[in-house]
Amino acid sequence: MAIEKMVLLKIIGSIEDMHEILKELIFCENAHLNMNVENSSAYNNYLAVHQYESEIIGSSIYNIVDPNNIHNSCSDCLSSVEELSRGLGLELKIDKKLLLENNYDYEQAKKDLSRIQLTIGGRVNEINNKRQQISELLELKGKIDSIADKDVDFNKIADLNYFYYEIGSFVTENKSRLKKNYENLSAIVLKIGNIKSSAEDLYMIIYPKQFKEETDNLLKSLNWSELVIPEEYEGSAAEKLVKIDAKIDELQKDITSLSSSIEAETEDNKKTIFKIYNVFKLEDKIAELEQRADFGNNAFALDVWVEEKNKAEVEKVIASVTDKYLISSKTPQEFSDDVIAPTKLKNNWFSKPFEMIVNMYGLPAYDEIDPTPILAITFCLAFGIMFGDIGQGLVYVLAGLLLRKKMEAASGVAIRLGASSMFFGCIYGSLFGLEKHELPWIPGILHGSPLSPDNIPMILAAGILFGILALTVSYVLGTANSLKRGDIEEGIFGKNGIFGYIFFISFIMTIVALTGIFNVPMSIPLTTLLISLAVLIMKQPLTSLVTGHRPLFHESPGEYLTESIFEAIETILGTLSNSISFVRVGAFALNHAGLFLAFMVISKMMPNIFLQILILVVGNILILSLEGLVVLIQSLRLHYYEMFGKYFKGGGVAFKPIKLN
Amino acid sequence: MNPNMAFYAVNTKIATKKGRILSKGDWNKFIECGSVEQLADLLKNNVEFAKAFKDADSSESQRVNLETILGKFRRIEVENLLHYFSGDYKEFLKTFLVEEEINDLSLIIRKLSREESLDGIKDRFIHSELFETLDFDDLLTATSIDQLSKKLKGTAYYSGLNNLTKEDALKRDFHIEMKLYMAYYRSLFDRAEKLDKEDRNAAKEIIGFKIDLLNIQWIFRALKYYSISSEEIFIYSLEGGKIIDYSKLKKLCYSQSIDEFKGMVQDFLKYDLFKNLNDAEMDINVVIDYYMFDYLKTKKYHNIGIVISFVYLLDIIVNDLTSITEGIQYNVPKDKLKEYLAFNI
Repeated sequence: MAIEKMVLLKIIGSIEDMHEILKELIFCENAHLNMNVENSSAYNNYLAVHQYESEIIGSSIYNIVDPNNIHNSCSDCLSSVEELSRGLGLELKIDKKLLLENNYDYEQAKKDLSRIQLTIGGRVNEINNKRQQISELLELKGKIDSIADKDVDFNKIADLNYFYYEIGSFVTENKSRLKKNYENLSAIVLKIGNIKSSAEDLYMIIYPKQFKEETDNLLKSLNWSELVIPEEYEGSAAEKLVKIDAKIDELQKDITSLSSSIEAETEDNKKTIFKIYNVFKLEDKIAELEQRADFGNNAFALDVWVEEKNKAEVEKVIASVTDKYLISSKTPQEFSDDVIAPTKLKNNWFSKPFEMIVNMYGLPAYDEIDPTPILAITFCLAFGIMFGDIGQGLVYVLAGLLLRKKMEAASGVAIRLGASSMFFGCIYGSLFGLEKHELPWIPGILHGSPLSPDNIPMILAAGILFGILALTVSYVLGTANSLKRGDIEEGIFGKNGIFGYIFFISFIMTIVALTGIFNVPMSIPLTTLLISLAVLIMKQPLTSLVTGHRPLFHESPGEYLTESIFEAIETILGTLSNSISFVRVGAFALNHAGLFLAFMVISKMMPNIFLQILILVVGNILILSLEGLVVLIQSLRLHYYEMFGKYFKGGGVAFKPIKLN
Repeated sequence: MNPNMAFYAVNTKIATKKGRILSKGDWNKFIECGSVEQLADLLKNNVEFAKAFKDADSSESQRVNLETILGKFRRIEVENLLHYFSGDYKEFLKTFLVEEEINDLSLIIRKLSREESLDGIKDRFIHSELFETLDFDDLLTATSIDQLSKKLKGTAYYSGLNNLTKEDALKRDFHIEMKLYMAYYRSLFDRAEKLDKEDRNAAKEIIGFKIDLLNIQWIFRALKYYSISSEEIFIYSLEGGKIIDYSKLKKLCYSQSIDEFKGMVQDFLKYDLFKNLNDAEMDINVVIDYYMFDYLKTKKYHNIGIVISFVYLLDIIVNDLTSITEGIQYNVPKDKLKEYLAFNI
């Protein structure tokens, strides 16, 4: 449900064609590299390579360059190109069109890079160096500027006969350590300012020359970072700042003149630099793929995961390069548990934004059921029941629409939760907190206020009913997930499996029978409760009986039973707290009405209509922000703790297709 | 009921695990082993210890490998317990796995400072790959201490190691160890803040007690083996002790002699920690472990404390097994070897 089906493709081809095949594989952006390198033997790569070697190519032997060398060379070249572009003020971008242009390859790119470096490289380096100097000077300036007393002349204390001084900072946590032990230090520590950019304090430390080594060690232990001020900026802080500014101006002028001297060449070489950058990026990526491939004498093999629906397309892409290739595919089910297929969620327009909430907990594993579609429904229901209001829901919808471009997923969630809030607002008959008796024209199914004595038990019971339904779904998914993994012990006899559910329902029915809400004979649910509890305790031997595993207990029966009985106690307490937890759904619905009622009462106490309206507006803002947040957190809590714990583990690996950028 | 912790289940689980780990019958056999290989075989037959051997090559039973396996043992046990927790409780317990990360990070630093190759170092790693907070693959590409320090930028370890030099790593190895431990204990306390009140208090109590012992151990080593100033000793000490507060800690750091230090420790702890340390070969670690073991045995918790106590018990067990391994290798008489163990067989 809602997870894309994957297949592991084994691509075997001639080494001669490898470069082109890998290039096309990168361009098609549909393949995820199999990262389970150590498990590649599960798919017998070496055997496959040797088996097909003779079929794939003729007699010619093609030598491959060590991909590590290519990677290192590309990294060096890329840093040169990046240096060049930084100096020239060019913004480098991945552009596939440039790579598709004919006859521009790695060797040509290297030659072009050398040529450009020869003509303008020296001047560009100079520009970069000067820019680097400026940035260091600006940092230094920021620190010196933070010195509170700018008139202190540091020259006067620089050449003392018996004392040294240092200026610098240390991380905040060490400050308190130093403070607590100040009386034992053989140095004076003065706070001389606060560095705005890092919020660190700047200190001056003065100590006798004879204690240099001791002080150095002490400063080391405090992670002291000394502020080194070059000699040319001597004088007081104010004088130093003036000198630094002058130096920055001088460097700026140099940069301007250097830049204008290479302006013409920059324009001529712009496109070539972009091309060089893209070629190196591509070659680096190809080398990365080569590092993951297995090699025979003439053939290579590479395992990649692709979505089942894109398998034909990937094959077509490879066929466009050569006809000397073989592709075989296997589904994740054909491998042992060690081989992990990547997960790509597939959800419809309604549930898609809720992937964000699921991902916050964990990405579903490939063999797990994606909880997003279920969560989308139950989350909207929980939020809507707790925060039902036509007007406030509409505000969330509008806020979601406004944020759509900036925060797609979050805005999607806001729109859906707002719509659900509006829907339940129509049931409760509530518009910005005002109810049907105040505004008779608003829709509403409920007779009277949610806080009227007739409605309170009904709303609380609705909360629990919602909980029972939500937990039923969780148990079904928990059972399905366990059985999918082949875990009979958990799926059938476990606390989140079939007997766990029977226990849960009998527990609820026992409470129903006890309270006399419905006329149910106590003996039936109680007997089922006890039987299911016994099954939960004996889950391991029962599983062994079913599967034919002997001995029945995997450890000593005494140890097993002690553990299992305590787990059963945990299950009883868990079930109780699970059921009670959902009372909060009803309770928050009442709280929502109650909170507004409070503002309504305050508003009525106001002397004039403007103040009354102002109180209601403020009340609505507070409800929309604070209560909305609390309800959101409660909904998250119900899903993460009460529901996900039953069926969702979330240890998936995200599907990340190989791409250039 | 705390939704983040299946207390009764974890309590029983720990009781079962303890029963298996502390089987006196097994330990008597461990002591009697004639070779490290034999010890490894015995450990493989114990349900709990066997877990650590799962991925190890059966021929790997040399001391170094057994040490690595024992290191992994603690990590595996903590990982197992994590199944019973969620939310902030899980995050808190995950922090205990940082200790293995520190071990592996220190290993890399040691190798780099000695300009040794990092090849094969991965086989000696014991940290949890499942919950690692550092990109170890990236760290392994570092070729110098300086590069490594840069790669740590943005991690919890950076503030302590940002101006680390090769000389520090070679001559002041305590600098790295203590700075890493400071970061570790700081995050333990930060995470503990998010627990419920009862659990938070229990966590601070046990961790605080452990910190007291770590500080005593550190100051003892510093006074005895390193020539560093009292100010430095104080700065490298850990914060958050239970019995030894700041002023007591300061007094210990400024001890004029080992005897004065021992006297003060006895005074603060109301216990003669060093009574068995007269034996020249006896290590301070054993004395500390012995006292901690005693503390864990007598203190009963009905909250997260039970898990923290178990984790600290694992530390002691690993140390004891390491002592047995060394004892076997250096032919230490069996009765003598027993004295070097915190676990009283």
